[in-house]
Amino acid sequence: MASDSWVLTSVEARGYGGIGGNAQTLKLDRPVVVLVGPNGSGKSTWVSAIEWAFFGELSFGNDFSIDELRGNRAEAHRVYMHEGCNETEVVLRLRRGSSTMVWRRIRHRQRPQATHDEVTCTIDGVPVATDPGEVLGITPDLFSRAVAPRQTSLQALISSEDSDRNAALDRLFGIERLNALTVGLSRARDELSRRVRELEQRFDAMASRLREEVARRFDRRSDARSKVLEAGIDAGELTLEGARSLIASLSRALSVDLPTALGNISSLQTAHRHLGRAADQLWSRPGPQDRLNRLTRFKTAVGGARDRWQNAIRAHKDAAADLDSLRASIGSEEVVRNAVDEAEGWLNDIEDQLSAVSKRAAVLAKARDWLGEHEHAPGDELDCPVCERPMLAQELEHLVDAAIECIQAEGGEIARLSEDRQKAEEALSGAKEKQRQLERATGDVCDAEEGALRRRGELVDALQTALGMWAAEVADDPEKPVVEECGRTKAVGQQPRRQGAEGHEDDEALDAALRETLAVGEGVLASTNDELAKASKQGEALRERVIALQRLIEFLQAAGELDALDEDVAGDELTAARASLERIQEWRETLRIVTSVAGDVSVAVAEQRVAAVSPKINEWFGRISRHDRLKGARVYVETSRTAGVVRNAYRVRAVDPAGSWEVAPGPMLSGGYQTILTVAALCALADVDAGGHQLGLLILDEPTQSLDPEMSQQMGNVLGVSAPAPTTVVTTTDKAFADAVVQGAGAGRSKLVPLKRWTAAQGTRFEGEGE
Amino acid sequence: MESLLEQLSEKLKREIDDTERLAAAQEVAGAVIEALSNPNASPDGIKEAAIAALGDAIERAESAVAAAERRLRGE
Repeated sequence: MASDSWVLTSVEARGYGGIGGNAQTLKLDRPVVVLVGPNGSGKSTWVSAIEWAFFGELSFGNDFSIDELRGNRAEAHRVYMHEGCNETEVVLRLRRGSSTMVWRRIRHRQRPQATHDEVTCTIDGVPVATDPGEVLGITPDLFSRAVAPRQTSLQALISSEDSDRNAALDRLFGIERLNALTVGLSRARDELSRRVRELEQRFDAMASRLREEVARRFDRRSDARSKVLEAGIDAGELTLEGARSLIASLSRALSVDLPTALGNISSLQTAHRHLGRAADQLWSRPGPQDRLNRLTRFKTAVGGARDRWQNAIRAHKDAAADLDSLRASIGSEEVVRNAVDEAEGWLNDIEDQLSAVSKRAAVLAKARDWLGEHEHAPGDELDCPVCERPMLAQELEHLVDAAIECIQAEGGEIARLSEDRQKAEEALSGAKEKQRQLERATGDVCDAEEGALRRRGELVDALQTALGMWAAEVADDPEKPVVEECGRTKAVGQQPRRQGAEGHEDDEALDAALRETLAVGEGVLASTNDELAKASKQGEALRERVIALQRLIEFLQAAGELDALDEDVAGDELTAARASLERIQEWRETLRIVTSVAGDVSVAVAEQRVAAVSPKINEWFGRISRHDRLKGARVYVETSRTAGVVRNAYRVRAVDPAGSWEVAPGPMLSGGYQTILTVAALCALADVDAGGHQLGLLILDEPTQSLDPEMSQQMGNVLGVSAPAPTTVVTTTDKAFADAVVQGAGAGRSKLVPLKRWTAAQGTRFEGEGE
Repeated sequence: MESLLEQLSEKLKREIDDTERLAAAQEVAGAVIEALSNPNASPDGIKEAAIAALGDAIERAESAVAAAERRLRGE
């Protein structure tokens, strides 16, 4: 026992639990005090008042929970107050040597929370801290294990159910907290691992997306690199400086003024747009396009006019040749005209003859009609109407008929003349047709001549138009010889054209000048086409360089995007995230070590306790036991490690002196010996834990369950003889047991405190009190 | 409890060479032992104390990862 322990000498209570409003005092003025009384007389109330005074509440442990009564609800804190009392007060008096400690707790019904309790502690009248841990080294946990084990704990200890018994043992031996420590650390480790896993998964997903993006941008850059190399840019020029150099070269070649500051991709793109427009323009209209157009227009207009003029001249010549040919064929206009005249004369003559014959025939017809109308005797003579000679009428009639016959008969004179007339008409028609042919041919010659003259005029107009075009659009130097030639030719063409053969000479002169002009124009056109081809080639080459510039900018852009992603990878956020994860992983490792170490320490502490407690239990069990073989007891610890979590479990066994036979609490050990084993453990723990605090008190609340009278008396005697604490308070309903305790301790070292049956009216009362 | 903490500290010193990690481990040990001194100490209370001893390391890591995610999304 510790000699410097504070010894509880009295408990004064009023309004606490079943103790009524009048203050009562339990004097603990002997080492062993036995509270004896019937069930419900208030024995446990008195001993619980000690714990309440110290801590403001009772630690019920796992076998009872008042959690649902906790919190700030006032009613929860009034459960300790006697019904009808407005105030509860417990005063503990303790002594150590010549010093006196007074510990007081008062609770008011209006403000029943422990935090509002009035708690005071004085030592020799001097106030000290109201912390039991600081003053006495006692905590609620230690109190409930080593000072005042609950009845329920005792019951659990002797339970036949392993889980209940072991839990109670663990609690009593203080291993419960060690297990809570290792299990809690393990849960913390699991919780941390879970959250780290979640973060790692998010980080991995992020890294995966990043890798995909990097791969995509890398491919894009590779693709852009291939294209720019294909476009003719050297590998050494795939830089921003290379792009600037190319832009400078192109701007000179295309005569494009660009800003000198080309610092970023955007400015390069702007420069490329300007250069692209210029290159497209050059490519689509390379070289002296206007000159080419003018020369082409000149060639088309003047050349065409000349062709048409020459065609007209040829047509005129052909028409003249046709006329000559016709003349040679059918005769000249004069010959044909004579033939017409001759045919007309012939026809007129025949017409005259026919008229005369017709008249004659008409006279003869009249004569025949007259002769027929007049009766003439034969021999009558009549003057011949023709010869006017007298003729016989009959003869005359014959003559008339013969004459008519001669004129009108087939093959007669009229018939013959009609035939001639037809021939004359045909001759006239043929001659007139020839005359018309000659007239048409002559007309054709005239028309062709007029056409040639008109075309000549048009040619001169075309020359004038070309000169006007050059005057309006300002001819290039290479065109000027053409212009001069054109002017001269126009002058030739404007001179009056003479008639006849001289006219042809004039035409020849004009055509010669024209051919020369066109030849000069053709030459300039050819050189212009060469110039254009060269310019086109140059434009195409520049355009390709501009496209190469575009590829280079695309490459730089792709490279920049890849670089930017690299910066992202090394960005503050990612770095911070990675560093945070690494820190947490370090924490996880640290927690793993702490958990492991806590498990080891837990085992070590448990073994230390076993080493300290086991001999004491053996000693106490041996004192109490009346068994013929089971004379001792021992404690050992079983340690399990599951998934890195250490759990300790105590095992208490009754053993024979040789240690060859051990019996575990349960079916193989009688209830009484289980009680003895339990009380032995409690006494041993009180003995051992007394070194950890300065409260010299052990309360054994109803320790005689399942004990027969003989065993009960033996236990009482042992507890009296070997009081396990400076003050040992025992509560019991068993008067014989109480007497045995007092008897074992001796009257000077012990006293019996009998309690009356509790009544609602009077509450808890000691015997002799109020009588 | 003080004895338990002392034993834990001693054992941690033997297990951990790194000064920074040892300090962290002792911080956790101190936190859980303090939690253990609570009359109503439970495994979950110990767990909370150990996690709390990490400070805002987890929250910082979660914030950092979230910030990195936003960065990657281009926000």
